[in-house]
Amino acid sequence: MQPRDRRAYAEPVPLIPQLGAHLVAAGGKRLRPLLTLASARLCGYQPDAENQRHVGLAACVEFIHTATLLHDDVVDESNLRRGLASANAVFGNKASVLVGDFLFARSFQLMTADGSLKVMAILSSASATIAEGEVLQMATQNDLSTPIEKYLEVIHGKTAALFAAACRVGAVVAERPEHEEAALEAYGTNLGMAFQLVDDALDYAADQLVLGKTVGDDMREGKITLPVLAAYQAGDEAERAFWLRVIETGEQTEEDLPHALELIGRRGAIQTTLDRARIYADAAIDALSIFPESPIRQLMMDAASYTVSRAN
Amino acid sequence: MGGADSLTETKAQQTSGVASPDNREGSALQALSAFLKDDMEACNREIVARMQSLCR
Repeated sequence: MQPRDRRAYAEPVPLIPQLGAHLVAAGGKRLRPLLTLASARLCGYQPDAENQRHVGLAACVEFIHTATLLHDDVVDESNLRRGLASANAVFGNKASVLVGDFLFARSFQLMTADGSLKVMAILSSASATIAEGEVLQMATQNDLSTPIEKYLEVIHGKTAALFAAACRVGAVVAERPEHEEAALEAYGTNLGMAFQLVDDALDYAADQLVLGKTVGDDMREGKITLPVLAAYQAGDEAERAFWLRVIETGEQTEEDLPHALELIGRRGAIQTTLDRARIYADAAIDALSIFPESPIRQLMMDAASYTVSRAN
Repeated sequence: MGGADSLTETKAQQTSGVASPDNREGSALQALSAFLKDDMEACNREIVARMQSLCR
């Protein structure tokens, strides 16, 4: 085999740096790294100039998240992300997949730099669970016979698992006992479940003009979410026939979305979804009760509480 | 996935400042972020620095 020209390794693919700049410019709320930082501080972690483990791991969590976003937008054929053109819409699917891979690799570099096998176990396990969740979501797409438990498994994988890991590593860097790690993992899991449930509710309930969120994307993609399952399961024969057509066969017209919203309203499916989200949010708040009262504990509880109230 | 982020930072919020339920949640997260300002700034620097290695 002939040695390859070294320039093949040295010359950057032009799209890659452009896509990197696009991601930097797009920013984001850094919610997941915020959970890592907050959890570490809740556990009394005191960094110094030499020891900033929580920062490196928070960045690691964000890279895992951003990698999954890049891949998701390709899978979902999404054109918008955070109100801007998505990376795949601008640079194409190939570049998005490859940069997503790069970010996953970068996240593993950050994990090894931290040096804790425990941290690696938590974050690599979460990465695998996210991928499983995405595959499971694909498997349940267009299938109205999906049990609600299976839907909950999907949202646990695609959202709650990383929330949980982000929180748990905060306790690990603070070298806290197992029960505190478990409590923070429970907080993250339940917060993530509540977040995704509300997200799914808003896809059928949001005032598009006020919230700036497109309504009906999930229906157009045939995604199985709780508002649809609840409306389908409570519907009469005609309603079920409607849902089967738009979700399972994908035959949709412009009039279908308003009718779907009417049926969801008629069957109280948004409230059903939000009621379940509230249960998870309350569980997240309860999970923090083992920690002594402090301003940061209250702020983390508030974040869980407001997760659901945003939709009311 | 990732929809949760878009809910906390919507285009409508950025452009209109309309008071909405979403803003209330944003306030809770912003308060937490503000409480951890130094940590968040260090984290953002770390993220941008490592992301910019893509840009070289």
